[in-house]
Amino acid sequence: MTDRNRNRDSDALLDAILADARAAAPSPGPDLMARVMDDAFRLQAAVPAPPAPARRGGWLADLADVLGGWRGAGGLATAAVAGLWIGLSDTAFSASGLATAFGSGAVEALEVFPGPGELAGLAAAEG
Amino acid sequence: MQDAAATPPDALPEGRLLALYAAGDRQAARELALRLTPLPLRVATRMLGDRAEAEDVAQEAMLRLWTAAPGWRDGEAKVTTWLYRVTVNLCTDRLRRRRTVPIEDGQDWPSDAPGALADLLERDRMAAFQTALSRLPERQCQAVVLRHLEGLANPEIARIMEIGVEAVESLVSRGKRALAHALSGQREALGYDHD
Repeated sequence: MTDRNRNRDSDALLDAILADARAAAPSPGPDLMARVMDDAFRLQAAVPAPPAPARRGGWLADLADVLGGWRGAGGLATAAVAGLWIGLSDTAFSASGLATAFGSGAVEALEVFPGPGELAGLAAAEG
Repeated sequence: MQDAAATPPDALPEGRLLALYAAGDRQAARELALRLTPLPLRVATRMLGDRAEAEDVAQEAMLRLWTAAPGWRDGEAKVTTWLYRVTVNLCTDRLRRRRTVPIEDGQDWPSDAPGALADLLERDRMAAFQTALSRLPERQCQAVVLRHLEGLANPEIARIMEIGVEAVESLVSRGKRALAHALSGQREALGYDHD
């Protein structure tokens, strides 16, 4: 028998044995399946609940919620900026601005609260 | 994307079943166990040549799958490829620990062949094959089992064994040649001349 024939026979024999081995593949019996299922259910019960999804926006979104949503927070921010601008503006500039606005150069100062003398006069008039 | 509520479990891919398992679905656990437990059992039986030890490996491989389920990211890896890799590694650990091959006469090979004589012949054939397989170098044995018994393509074997495709081809070729050489001359003894 030549080497080539011998190799061909060996290959054919191996192919036949491999085919038989595939056909005789073991399958799990009931005992193994019971063990596997026990593990599956035991570990499944121990799986922690999935974490809650992270909130979008973080602390900024929390703050907006406290202030009545994004619309409320926007209004508050606008008012704060306007107040800051008024507070920082120069008094003379404000006065001249008002004078220009009301068409008179006579405005020297703007009194918002009455002084002690005026309060006393008001009291006397009522009393 | 498939609707898990409307799709029967046996039609869902393994990755989706794993997500359902992690969410507490017991039917998904059953389906995964039925579908996947045979895989590590087949590979471990061939690599270890011992049914009881192979069952322990199959249980351990499935245990690792249950443990991995909550962190599994569907689409990143194929579940079966991952399970093959775990199984091969578990078998390798055991083989390295024992360093001997306890193939015994009377190994309890399952057989569907009818009749006692056919059973005996089948058992002898499988025992001879198992002995030859177990004498292969470790990596050749893995490659031959995955290629010729599990029927996997070389690129998937490469992913499982974490080597290149060319290295797989070389391992399979050398392993098959060594097996053929070991079994040559046993044709008659194994009953193949009488088939």
